[in-house]
Amino acid sequence: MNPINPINPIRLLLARGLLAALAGLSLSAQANESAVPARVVTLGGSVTEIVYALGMQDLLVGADQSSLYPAEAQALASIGYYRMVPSEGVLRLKPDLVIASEQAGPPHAIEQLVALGLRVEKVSDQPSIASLHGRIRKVACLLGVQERGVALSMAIDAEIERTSLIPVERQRALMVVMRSGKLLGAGRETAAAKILELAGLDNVLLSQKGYQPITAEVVSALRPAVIVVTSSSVRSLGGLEAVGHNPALRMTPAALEGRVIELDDLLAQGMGPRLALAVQQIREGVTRARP
Amino acid sequence: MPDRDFSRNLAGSHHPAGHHMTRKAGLMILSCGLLFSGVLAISKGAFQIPVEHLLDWLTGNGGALDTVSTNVLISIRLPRVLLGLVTGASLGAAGAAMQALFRNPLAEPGLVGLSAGASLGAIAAIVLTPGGFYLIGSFAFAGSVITTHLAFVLGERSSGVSGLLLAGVAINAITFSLMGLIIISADDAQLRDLTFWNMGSLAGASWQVLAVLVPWVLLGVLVMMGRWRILNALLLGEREAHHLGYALQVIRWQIIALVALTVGPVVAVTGGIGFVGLVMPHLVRMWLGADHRWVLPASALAGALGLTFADVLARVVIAPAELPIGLVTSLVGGPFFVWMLLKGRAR
Amino acid sequence: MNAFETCALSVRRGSRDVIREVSIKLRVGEVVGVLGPNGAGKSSLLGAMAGELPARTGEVLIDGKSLADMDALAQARIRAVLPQHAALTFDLGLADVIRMGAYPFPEATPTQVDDWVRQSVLDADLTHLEAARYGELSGGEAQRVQFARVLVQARAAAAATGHAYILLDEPTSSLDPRHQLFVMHRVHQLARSENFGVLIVMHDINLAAQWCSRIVLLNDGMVASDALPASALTPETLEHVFGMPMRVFPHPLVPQRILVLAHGNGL
Repeated sequence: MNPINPINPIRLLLARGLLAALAGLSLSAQANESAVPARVVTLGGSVTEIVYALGMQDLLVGADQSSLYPAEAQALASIGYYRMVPSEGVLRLKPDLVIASEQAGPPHAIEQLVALGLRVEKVSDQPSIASLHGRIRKVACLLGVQERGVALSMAIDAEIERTSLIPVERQRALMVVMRSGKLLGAGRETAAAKILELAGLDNVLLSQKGYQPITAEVVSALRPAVIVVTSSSVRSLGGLEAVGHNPALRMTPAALEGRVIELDDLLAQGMGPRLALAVQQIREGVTRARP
Repeated sequence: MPDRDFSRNLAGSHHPAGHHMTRKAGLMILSCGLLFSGVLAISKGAFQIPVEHLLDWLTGNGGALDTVSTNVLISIRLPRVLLGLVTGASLGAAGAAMQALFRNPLAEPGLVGLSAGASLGAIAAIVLTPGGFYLIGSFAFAGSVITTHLAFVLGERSSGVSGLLLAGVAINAITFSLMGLIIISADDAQLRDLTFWNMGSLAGASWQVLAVLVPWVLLGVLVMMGRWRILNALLLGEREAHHLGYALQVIRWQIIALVALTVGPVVAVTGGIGFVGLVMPHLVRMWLGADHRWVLPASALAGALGLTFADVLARVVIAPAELPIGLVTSLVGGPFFVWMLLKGRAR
Repeated sequence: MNAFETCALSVRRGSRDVIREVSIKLRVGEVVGVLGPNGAGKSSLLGAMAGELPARTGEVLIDGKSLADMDALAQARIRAVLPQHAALTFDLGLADVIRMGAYPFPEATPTQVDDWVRQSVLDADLTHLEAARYGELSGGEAQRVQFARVLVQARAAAAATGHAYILLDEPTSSLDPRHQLFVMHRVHQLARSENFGVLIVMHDINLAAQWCSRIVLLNDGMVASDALPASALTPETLEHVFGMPMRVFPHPLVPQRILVLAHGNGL
């Protein structure tokens, strides 16, 4: 330092900041050209599941709290709820790539990470098969395993094809979640709606969007022949038998004819690699029904 | 007389003369504490920066600090600490002013519908608009101003602050029902977003936001501090304050407007952060007495200090995840408040 | 001539007039005692003069200006009010409370304010309590602190305009006999030495008779008598107003003052 000019800390701070920002930008430019990342953070349960399905889990250094499948994923460092991502928390894990569901947020935190030179790639996260394939393709591409991605997609398609071998009569169906006494039904644009569709059933709630509260009266009026309940709802109601006897569902054709089917929460609410499994469970449950 | 005991709580306990350290010393201690808290907040976080490197950087020899660390400090931590300081200061000062205006130790900015209005604005933005930081913030601010204004207009019809209190209760009730109506049409993700908004967060801090917020809040807090004589006079009761020359209608309007305009934008940026406005003025009064000349600045300093410290906890305790800061203030503030109440009864 | 007066003042509370066409005049240098039975309208009169109750008919004038034309601050800068109950307690030092009397006078320098505080502390016999906190005081001590505050306000007003008015609502009711005399004596002195016009609402006939320069006796919202104590408090007037026989004697200890004694069992 020039001994004649005293150090002005504020100017120094600003100058450093500017240099750092420029350096950060150039780092991110470099990162875009690099090939396979070494430390990956995933935001979104489905994204994490795909990484495992592609066999690339060793790259994972962190995930969000909804990344619950497979069980080993829960051992990863968690940055919390994927729509309230803490910037510093992500940086702490020193990732060179963040694969984020398009639903991840908040937007300004994601922007902040990008501005700091971190590579953040968003993937489609809609309840449709096209979105699922797109997600698999992009994740596989980002991780440098395109072929495995293609194989995975094809396998999923094949599995779904196979499920159609389980014959199921086209009938009225309803997917419900029963949380602390309140009954919610799955309308259109949910993963559950897609699963019911693939299972060859008619979702009686297509007129509504998303999960909506429904009353016992509405359920009876809709006369579903098949009711799918999530595992957590079954647990809170005290077993599948109890579900069938629940006052809201008791008088439906589904309950009377024994077509109440349990489906794991993660399978029911997310569209991931195990989609075919969900469809299979429903088809098998319908055919196994005993009045 | 019931009034006498009630306001005894407002005044804190009685201390023999010797226990009240000189007020200036108190402010000095708070300022030092604030400085310490600020440095602590800058040095701690989910992203680990070795303390020696940080100190070097602060004193001008930043060679050891790599670019990412510098970036974290400048674009994430520093704005966040500043936001915490400004938020805590506005909540603390506003809480003290509200408690003096209402002569009620439970008063805090939310009493006249401010927080409820902000929440209503936020949920409306989350559910009915594309959302995003600026939309939610603007709606929240608009909501807080509207409900506060409504509560004030309603409350002014009856004399005294009891009218204001009751109007605040009514407005809060109506606001929550409106929120309920909107919530019915919200999906899961939106509901979760609202829950987190209500628990507060300093993550929205950025230099652009601070450039507007800091001068505005500082101005509001300074003007509030300038009103110390009026708040002292109110300690004597509304009638006496009037005899001392203060037009009560005007004063009530001024103070509530000040609170709404100072706290409203803050809540818009941070979401709901409770307890700071309620607890800090109490602590300050217990320590320094009820003279608002000192209580107002001290509450601002204490609020800033407390919130900054709470944010450190929020960022560090479950790293890399983060606790919502409103949760930390409630978790710490709640039991502390209970302790204060028990202590009061024991005397 | 500077005066604080009411002109044919009527004040309504609820459905009836509690003050009916009352005209009284408080001059600088005077100590006027307002007496009367419960419900006579004493507090309402003070309330109207303090700007709290609006006049239904008639008006209140301070130094020739109508109260209705003066805002709260203008009133505070010429008159001070001591309420009956120092109801609230809070954690301030005594000096801080007393200093509040100077709030309507932001132009006063700290030295001036300190001077006034010092003098008022003496006038309220608070010197030995100076280090205490307001919240620790007894009711009577707190009342004297408020009295000192009012004196500061009056002194500040006198410094600004040359004179001031003080309205006292039963200032001696919670004081012990020694302090009752102390306060009345001081009020009597200060009215003359500091150019104050003091109006005191009180219950104690003899205290008023001994220290006031004039007595206004109210009955059922109207003035029953308004004169020097000996003329205002005749046995006939007293019996008519208070509804019980009273006898008036020359005061055995204080020349030219009277002593009033009630007798009988109150029926």
